[in-house]
Amino acid sequence: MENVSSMTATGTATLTCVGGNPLEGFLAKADADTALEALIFQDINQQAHIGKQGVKLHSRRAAEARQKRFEALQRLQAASKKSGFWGKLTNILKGVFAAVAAVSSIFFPPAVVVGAVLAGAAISGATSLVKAHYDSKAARAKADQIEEGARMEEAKLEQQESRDFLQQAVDLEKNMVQHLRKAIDLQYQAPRL
Amino acid sequence: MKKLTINPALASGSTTIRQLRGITEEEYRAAVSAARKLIAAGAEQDGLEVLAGLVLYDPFLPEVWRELEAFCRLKGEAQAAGLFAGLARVMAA
Repeated sequence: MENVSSMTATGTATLTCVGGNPLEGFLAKADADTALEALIFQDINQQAHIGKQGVKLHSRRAAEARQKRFEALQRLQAASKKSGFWGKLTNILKGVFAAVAAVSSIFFPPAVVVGAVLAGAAISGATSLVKAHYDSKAARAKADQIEEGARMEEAKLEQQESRDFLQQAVDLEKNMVQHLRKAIDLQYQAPRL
Repeated sequence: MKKLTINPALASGSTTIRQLRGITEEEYRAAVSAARKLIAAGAEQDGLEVLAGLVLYDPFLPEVWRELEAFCRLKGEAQAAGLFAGLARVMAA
């Protein structure tokens, strides 16, 4: 099937689909309200299954190439932080910025979690000093209490970061699907050339 | 409360949301193409949100980075375009 269409809404655009409509195929698979949640946060059995499949599907060389790409993303992330690049472009690339932030949450430890870990380490170090200085049962109990509190705060931050990411990713996915649906609708409304 | 954990296969980059969903590269490219046409039609924000979603689905295919590069060049954002171009090259290698 060959299908070449044009559309006019606020402007003009042309969607060209040759040999079926792969865009519809994309939407059929992408269009699931909160499926992203299930995919990102899976139980241990599913994760193990995916891991085994991954080993079967990818050769060592392919895995190495993938690792290089993964590292390139990390370098981009580091470079963009140093240059303040994302900040300058936020107004122009709001959607992209959101995506990079979301992807970063998948691929890199969220800054807030890193911060929390560092803060936890600092508190832990401080409590060690307290322990050394006050060699008494009461002081040790107090230090343990502070340490436990820091651990709980760290866990809370990590949990909140995960939830924020999830919401951001789900919103992003919904927007993408909505815009693509609109593109397809306009394509079918347009006269065939 | 159940603890939320990020899928390690995604976190390590050994798989992508696109692959987990069974979306083919052809289908993915069709979506990139639709985003390009939305932008060309003046619906820039919509097109960018589509590209953003596609980055989330699979950041390892070069096409989406090339589109971002093209958009940045169009907007005169040379530094950003350069960064996206570099990323597209790595993904294509």
